[in-house]
Amino acid sequence: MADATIGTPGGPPKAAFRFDMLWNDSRYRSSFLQVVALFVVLLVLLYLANNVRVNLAALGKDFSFGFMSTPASYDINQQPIDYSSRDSHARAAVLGMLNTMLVAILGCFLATVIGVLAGVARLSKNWLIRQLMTVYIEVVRNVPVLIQILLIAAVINESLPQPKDFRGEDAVAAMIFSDSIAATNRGLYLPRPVWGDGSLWVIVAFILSIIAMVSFNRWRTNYQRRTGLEVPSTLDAAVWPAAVITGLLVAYFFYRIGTWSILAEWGFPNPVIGGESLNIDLLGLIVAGGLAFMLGRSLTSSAAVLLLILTIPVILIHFLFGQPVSLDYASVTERGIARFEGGLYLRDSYVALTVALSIYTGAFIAENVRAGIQAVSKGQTEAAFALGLQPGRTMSLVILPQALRIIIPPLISQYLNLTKNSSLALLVGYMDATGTLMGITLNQTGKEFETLFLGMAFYLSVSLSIAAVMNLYNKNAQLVERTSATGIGFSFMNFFGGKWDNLKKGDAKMRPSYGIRGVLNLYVLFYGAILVFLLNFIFIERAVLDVHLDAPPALQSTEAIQDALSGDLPQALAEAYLPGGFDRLKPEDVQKAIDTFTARPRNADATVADIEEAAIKSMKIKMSNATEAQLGLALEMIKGQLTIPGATVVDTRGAVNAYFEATRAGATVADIGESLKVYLSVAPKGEVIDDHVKDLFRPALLDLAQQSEPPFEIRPSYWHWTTTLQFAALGMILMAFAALITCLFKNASFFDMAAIELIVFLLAFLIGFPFGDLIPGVSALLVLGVGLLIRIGILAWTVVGAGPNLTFFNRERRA
Amino acid sequence: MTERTLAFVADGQIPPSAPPAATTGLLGWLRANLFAGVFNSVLTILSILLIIYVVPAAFEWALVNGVFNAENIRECRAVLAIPVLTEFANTNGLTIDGSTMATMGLVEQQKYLLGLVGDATKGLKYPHGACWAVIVDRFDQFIYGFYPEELRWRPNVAFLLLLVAIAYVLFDKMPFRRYGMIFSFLYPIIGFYLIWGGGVDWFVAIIPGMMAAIIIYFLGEQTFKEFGFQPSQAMQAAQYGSGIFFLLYMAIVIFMALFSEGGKLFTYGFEPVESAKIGGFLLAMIVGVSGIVFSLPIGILLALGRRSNMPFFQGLSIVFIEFIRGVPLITLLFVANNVLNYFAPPGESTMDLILRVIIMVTLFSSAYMAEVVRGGLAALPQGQYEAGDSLGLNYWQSMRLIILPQALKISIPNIVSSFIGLFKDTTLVVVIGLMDPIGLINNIRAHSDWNGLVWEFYVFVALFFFIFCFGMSRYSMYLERKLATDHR
Repeated sequence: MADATIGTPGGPPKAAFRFDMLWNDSRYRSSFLQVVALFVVLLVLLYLANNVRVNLAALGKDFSFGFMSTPASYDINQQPIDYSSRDSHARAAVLGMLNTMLVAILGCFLATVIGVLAGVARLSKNWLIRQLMTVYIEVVRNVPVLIQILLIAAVINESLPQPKDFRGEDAVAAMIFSDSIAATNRGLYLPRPVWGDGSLWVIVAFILSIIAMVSFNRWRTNYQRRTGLEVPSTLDAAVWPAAVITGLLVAYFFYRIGTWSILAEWGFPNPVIGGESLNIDLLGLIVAGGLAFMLGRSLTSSAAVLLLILTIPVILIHFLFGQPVSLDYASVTERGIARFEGGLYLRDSYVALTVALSIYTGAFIAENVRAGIQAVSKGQTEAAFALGLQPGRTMSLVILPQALRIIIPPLISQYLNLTKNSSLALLVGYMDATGTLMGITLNQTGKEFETLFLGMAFYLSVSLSIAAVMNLYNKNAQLVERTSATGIGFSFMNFFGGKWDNLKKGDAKMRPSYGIRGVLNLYVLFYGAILVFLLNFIFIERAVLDVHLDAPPALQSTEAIQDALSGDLPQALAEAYLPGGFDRLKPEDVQKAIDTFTARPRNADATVADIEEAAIKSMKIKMSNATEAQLGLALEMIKGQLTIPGATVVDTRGAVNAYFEATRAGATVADIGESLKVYLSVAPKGEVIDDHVKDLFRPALLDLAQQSEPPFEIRPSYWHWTTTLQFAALGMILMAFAALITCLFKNASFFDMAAIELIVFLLAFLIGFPFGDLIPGVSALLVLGVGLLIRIGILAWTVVGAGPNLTFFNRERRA
Repeated sequence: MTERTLAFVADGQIPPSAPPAATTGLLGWLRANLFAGVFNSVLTILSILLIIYVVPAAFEWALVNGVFNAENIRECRAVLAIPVLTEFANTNGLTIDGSTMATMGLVEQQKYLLGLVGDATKGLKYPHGACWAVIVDRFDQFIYGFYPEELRWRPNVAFLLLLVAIAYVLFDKMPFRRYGMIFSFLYPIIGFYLIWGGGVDWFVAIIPGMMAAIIIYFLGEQTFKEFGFQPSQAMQAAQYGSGIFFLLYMAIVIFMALFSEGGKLFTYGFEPVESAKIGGFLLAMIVGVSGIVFSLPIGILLALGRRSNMPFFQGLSIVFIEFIRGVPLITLLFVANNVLNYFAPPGESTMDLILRVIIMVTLFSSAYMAEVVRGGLAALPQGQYEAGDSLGLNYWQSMRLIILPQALKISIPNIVSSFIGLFKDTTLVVVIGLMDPIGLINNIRAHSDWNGLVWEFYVFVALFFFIFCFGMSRYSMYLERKLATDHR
């Protein structure tokens, strides 16, 4: 310290680094704390992961996604895409996710409609409406949504008529809107549009109309800027035609849905000409005429032009091509079991779930809408009136833009809630992602970790996408404040509001980090990466390997086995295994498996499937540890069956699978070699190898490689790149890169790097083989190349600032 | 004052004329609030029609025709049918043998009358009425689930004590406040012991230890100060004291656990009640209250972490919060049901299902709690943080003494609404087979006595939740007004 001079530009004298500065010096304390915390967290995670590994191993389970490609063999009652029970679990899961999205999309739409109406009605001048809406909102918000879903499902199932009530002359129930909609206890039947020959032209005309409308709008804006007039006065001529056409369309609509028949039911006579009743809807005509008159009086000419552009070409083309677009109506079958055919079927559980969720979420949205509108200061309305704006324009130009800024963020989080609540579908029997992936698939395969992981990932990705959209909107719409005017770049942290908080605290975080802090960061992240790698490895890899290595105490000695064999073997097995957690296997199962295993293969009629079933079942209860003699017998039998003509790959794989399981308990290398040959001769080349089989192959191959003369080499890519290792390597590379870049460059947060790396590797994973090997191929190399390019781009961006202009989202809004 | 100079200048105000008759009184109110314009009038008439259509029918169904006394659903139906049949018989001159009727049960009476009236009954319409008898019959079950009848005083006492504990937390004018707070801190373990009885799992015993350590810290600090220690010395002494206490406590607990059966402590005393027997609103209360109570400290820590300057803690909090908020509660319940046991040390006895549910619900609600508290923290002006720094307080001191008291006060209404949400969500535990009120509905409907009833159950459960949640939401509004002490 003595040679430090006071007042030099270098600042205060630098003390030599001592270890106690780690917790006493505020410069190092936070980094040190984080290192310690990281290690504690990782140790806890490791401990938990190790528990999971041991517990899974004790149950004989592994962690792999191979089951996703096996047949689901269950039916799904609503199928937006083709599906049969022979399709894979993966397809069933996708179907469930699509069903979730169907509920979410229609539900969000309906909830918005209900919510906006109720919210506006709650501010209405009408006292009664206001009170009614208050009752609706308070009741719905304070009753659990589950009860509401069950209640509406009960309303549909208990109080709506059955399909058979619609049949016959003296039908108890009738379809509404002139036989177009049937509300039954099985669900709703609606008309379905049928796209006949030539309907393409109608669609094309429709799209062209839309384009024309957009360009008209552009032209109109320009015209207004140029002249100060909205539109040339010649366009006023469009008003009355547009009004008349709208009136005609409305009248036609009333005619088609058949309000005349309803009126006839109520006792209004149809006009009769020449003794024949005309199916003309007088009320509809009056309403349509009134509407046309009102429109003719009030429509602006630009709106009229837009209406004409929208309607005339489509109608003309539709009639010119002979009405290609028609509706397919549902109708009840006349014989056999009464059910509805044709039309668009919305199943009861779907209707109940969607309606209940929309009503529930609608109440919350109503409150948001009300709060949003009320939050706009009254002075704004008064200012707009003072400027001479009409009430409609005041609403659309002054109040709504301000209210929307307040309404939309909670609105979107309500959408999110609705999507998450749609998982209650399970309780009304609707097969969404919870019902398929986390319901039946979980129960059938017993893969709790994998199915729950995938299910959560699905919901999480939906939620995060919605949250991302919301945050981008917020960035765009929020009032521009002083802090954001500095123009920070884009960061994935923005999605979680991270940067916002940091910026307010000044730019201290943005400084480059050098010295001991940087080194500490590097150590944190580097060792974090290695620990994550280990975690992956220990968690997943060991779980697979250890499964078959520990025999239960009851079967560890030969004497014990012989005792068991001479006594009641199934009972002994059941006792040995069931307490260990084989809660899914009942003693009967064990009995059946053993019977099949020991008796069936002697039977000349036994098929490969039998053997597969027997072998797999018995291996599952670790029969492979039983006796050499029994195994030998089983092996002979299996080998004898392997070359059966007509055996499918799945059969053979199953058999080989079982075979290798067996060999690990004492089969010789020669056996392995032989069965390998058999397997390779049967399995088609290039077939993606089942994870499970592959994991079993590895030790066998290693044995083979070591013991054969001369020893041969095994290509690493053949067995090295398991899914596990891919994930582990992914994690490690990701963390390491993130660490490096975080330490070296300013403005890049660890989070950004992690997010980018994650995206790159997810892409690689998806383009490669989902749930399979990433054997380096063209596609994978391409992805890696692209990943490299992205990384170079990031480096360029962070170092020399040669990046895309992502400050777009923070730009100041000007008129 | 001044002399009148000009004839056309008024020297006083003209008395105001009465407002037009149509704008005052009832008529004016009606015009302004119900019939302002065509559109509003149409809406009003439609609403009145709707009310006329719904309310009397619901009233009739629920109360006028509601049956409160019956053994089973058949008797319910008989009670509604007998008057109609009797009247029909009387108007058609059939004689009813009153003495025979008096000896019969309701269902037999209905059969007798049906036999008497014969085929003419085809066209008869029986009134619709709610069969509340099922609720009367199974009311205890809805409250307690299958909790043994002779032991039901225990949940009752637990509930009363809960009210006391909550009162000490919420109101600062209670007598014996200091001891009351100790009681509130210790309540979770008392409640647990009362409801489940039997022994206490050793890891559950950690909670009261932690609570006691915290109390010792605060009490100790205060006591040392009263003895004339410097504040910093007092704090340090209290820290050491509570730390040593906790270590000793844990040592004793672990020592006892090692020598007790199945790691359970205090295996004497109240008779154990297994979790499968706990159900109904009791279960909803247990899950809801413990979820919210345990989630508060976790939520505060997460909120502080999310606003921390240290990227590791910030990242950890963000990932945790966004993950939990991004998945439905139902998936977390699946985790509790299927996966959570795998995280326990191998060979341990499996964790109780309700305990697992409470763990997951706590994690779930702590993410939401964190966001609520973060809102409170963000609402404080930056000056408050800077004030803490300028006083030389360290992070935890300034949080404890300056920031959190204010932030939590702002957050209380939102904490209450978060509790309402959680309480409503406790109904989801039915998906993993727990006997919450909705699970009980299925259970009761499966019984032959009540098979066929639908609406009564839903209406009853909905009503219960509504009363509770609506009351809570009103209370939170009241709190919001009461706590609004800022200078605006």
